[in-house]
Amino acid sequence: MTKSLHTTLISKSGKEIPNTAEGSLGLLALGDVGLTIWRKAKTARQADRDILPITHNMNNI
Amino acid sequence: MKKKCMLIGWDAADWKVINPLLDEGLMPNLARIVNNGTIGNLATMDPAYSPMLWTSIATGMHAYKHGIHGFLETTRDGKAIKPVLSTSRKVKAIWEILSEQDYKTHVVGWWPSHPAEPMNGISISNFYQKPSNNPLNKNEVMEGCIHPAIYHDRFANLKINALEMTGQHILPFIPKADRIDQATNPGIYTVANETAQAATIQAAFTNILRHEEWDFTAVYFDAIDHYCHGFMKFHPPKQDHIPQHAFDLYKDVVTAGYRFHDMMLGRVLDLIDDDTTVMLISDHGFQPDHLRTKELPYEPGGPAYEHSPYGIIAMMGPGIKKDHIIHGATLLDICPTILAMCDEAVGRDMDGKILVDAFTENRETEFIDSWENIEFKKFKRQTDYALNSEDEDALMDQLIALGYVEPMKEDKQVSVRNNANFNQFNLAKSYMFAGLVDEAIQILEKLTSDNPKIPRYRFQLATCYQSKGMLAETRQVISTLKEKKYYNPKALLIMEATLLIGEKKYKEALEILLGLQESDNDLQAEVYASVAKCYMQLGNRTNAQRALDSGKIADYDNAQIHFLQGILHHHNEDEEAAIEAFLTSIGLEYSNPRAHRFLGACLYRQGKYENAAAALEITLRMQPHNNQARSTIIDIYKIHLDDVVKASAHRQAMQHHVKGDLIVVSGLPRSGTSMMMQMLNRAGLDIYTDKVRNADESNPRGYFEHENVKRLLHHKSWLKECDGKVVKIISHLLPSLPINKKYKIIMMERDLDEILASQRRMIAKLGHRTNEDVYPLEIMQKLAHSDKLAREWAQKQMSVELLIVNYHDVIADPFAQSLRISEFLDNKVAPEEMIKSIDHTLYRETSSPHHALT
Repeated sequence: MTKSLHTTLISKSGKEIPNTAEGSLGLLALGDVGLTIWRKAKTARQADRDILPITHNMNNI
Repeated sequence: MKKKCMLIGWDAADWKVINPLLDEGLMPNLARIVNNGTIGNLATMDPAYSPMLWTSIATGMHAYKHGIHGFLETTRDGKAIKPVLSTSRKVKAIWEILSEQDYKTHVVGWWPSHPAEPMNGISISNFYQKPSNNPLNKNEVMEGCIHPAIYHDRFANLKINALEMTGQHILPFIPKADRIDQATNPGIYTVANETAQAATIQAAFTNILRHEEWDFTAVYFDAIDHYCHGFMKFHPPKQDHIPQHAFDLYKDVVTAGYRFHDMMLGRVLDLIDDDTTVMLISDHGFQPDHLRTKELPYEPGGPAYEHSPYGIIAMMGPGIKKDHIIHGATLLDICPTILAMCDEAVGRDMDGKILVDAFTENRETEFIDSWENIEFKKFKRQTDYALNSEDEDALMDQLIALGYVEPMKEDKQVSVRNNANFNQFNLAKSYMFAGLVDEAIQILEKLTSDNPKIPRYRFQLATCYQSKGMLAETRQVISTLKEKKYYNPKALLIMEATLLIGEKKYKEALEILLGLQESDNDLQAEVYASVAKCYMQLGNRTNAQRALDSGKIADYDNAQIHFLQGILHHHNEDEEAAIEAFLTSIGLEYSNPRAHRFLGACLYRQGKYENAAAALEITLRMQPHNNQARSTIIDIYKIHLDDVVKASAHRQAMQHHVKGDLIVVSGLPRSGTSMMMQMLNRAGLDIYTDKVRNADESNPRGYFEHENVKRLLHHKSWLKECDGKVVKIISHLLPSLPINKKYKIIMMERDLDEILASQRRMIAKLGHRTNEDVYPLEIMQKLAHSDKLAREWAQKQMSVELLIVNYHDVIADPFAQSLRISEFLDNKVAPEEMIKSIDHTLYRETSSPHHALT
């Protein structure tokens, strides 16, 4: 059982999301299994996915 | 059945960051290893550049042997530079050896490991997780990353791109990330990029662990190093020069990075069984406290100034001690230790040692001369490889962004030349780190000559000269550096002070050092150490102690400070405290033979003979030629431990390590030493003299001295010029002679009253006043004591033959004494020639009845 880094995150909609093993970072830490689960779950949780969209600005690299 | 071993690399992981997190329960998976295994510091190497270090870890060899000398290398045609590849490695890595021995072996992400090497399993190179610039496929994996290539798609599907990350991944690192304007601030992307790469490595590694059989696996994560280079400046406590808003934004990144790695470690530990030995290491640490560098120098590899000298080692598994701390581990020890754990042979040409102290039981380890002498047939590594230009550009951009390499110049040849110089400089530093100073000097002299405007080459050259006691050459380089604008003038001042210390000008050195005491954090401990050294030499132990106390506050992990503390306690005859200090110093820097030798001396004084012998045995492993240590250990075995076998073995070794021989004429000043030198010179022997001190009224036929002798206490390298010659060395310096040469010592003996009278006459002739009415009892006692110590030393040494010659006997019967001396010198001199130099009119001092001792 992986340990979460933060107990809760707040989504744009104001909903609390526990960042537990089922949370995104926890799933990445699980390796290939977690990655597969996360990629599948990502689409299912589209509404909460965009807490903070990451942009890729080449000028800043 | 093969032993199972897993090697995990966390670049730049540091106990100073980890320990508070462990205390708070925030790294529970690492805590499993700490509580159930063996941990310690892992000393890094110089230069501390990751591709060089991780190759030393994988091979057990210094960089000058393994061939990786930097981040980039010149292409075969010499026209361009490219990231360093696995094809540049000149020696075999641990995975090659174990693959050849039929271990099922997998390696993920090692640096450098591209192109992926054939092995008895899967290898994934360090370019696998790097972001692709292909706008159509951000998760593209470049060619050559996976071996066997049939697994390309399998691992390409596990690659994560930064743009897949979401706020849920970022917010644990940057809780206030929503305040960041991503158009102008790359902080979020940086964290996303590094985390994606680490997660990619984790995905590939866990996939292998779950689906493949394995005996040995190795995996390398570079994310902690990158998190730290980007964000350690914001780590608590807040530094004065960091703006509050930036601190508030990024203060959690480093902690989150470590905790994420602990989460990944937890998964890996869940996938292994109790038969696996797991070893977690880092190549260096990263300063997280007041020792953080405020400003990096603008030079290749500049970010390495942020590193600290100790990485981590934590190991757990069958045969590994539980809840144990080891000392003195270095990067070079990892490969030999893994080979020993797997019951495979260790190459004698590997520079590291087996960390036997981590094992619960003694192991019989086989040694072979070198794995390089054995041709491997099962899995052959490529020796040449060319990246495609697009991939090369993308990788170069990433190295430039990290600050490890400078941006490419418009004229490519300038960049090629600069990089070649950088790599040569690193090679010189590798030689120097290995103690091969002459080889380092050869490279640095050429670099300095070809690049007169680059001061760091000169500075390193001066350091080399200084380490060899070449003080004149050191001073010349410093003078040249002073004329140029050197970006780190404080380092130059410290070097000048060290030079003055070498010249025994302690007061002048202190003048410089005391002005530097409150300066740069990263040099403070070195300054305090030098201040303490000066005060100790000047006999001011109180101020020396004050300087050492300040040094401990500046940097408690400075090995030199603790070493000097041990010396001070030893001089104060507080052996208990001295032992404690030496042990602390050794724990920080194992490879200091002097620390082990002094520790042995303290334990000897305390009558702890077994421990003393153990410490001295370590000294001798590091310095096989150190006959001084050997002499003490022979006494211990012979007299105190009744171990005749070991005493005899060391006696034989002593003879083996005696190289060179010389004739020494010794005694107190004015005891007849010049007369004896004249006699031997007349007989045709080669005299070691620089003729600096001219003949005078006190000694009309000359002194036959050499200025080098005055430096004998601290510098002995000049003695190799004396082989086969006659050297005049005053008796109180005799114990400073290294016992790795054979000495025939002719010790002149003369009545102390006469010596004193002669000295007074000489002083008067020089125009100085002496108080004729006061009997110099203290001087007499010092002279007598000094003479006694010298004789005792000489009589104890196996490599010394001693002949006492009385001054008056030579005057009274020169032929008989010359015959004695000739026999002592194996008839190399003719007595009839020797006596021709004696002029009775010159030798007139006799004991005055007025000064007769009662």
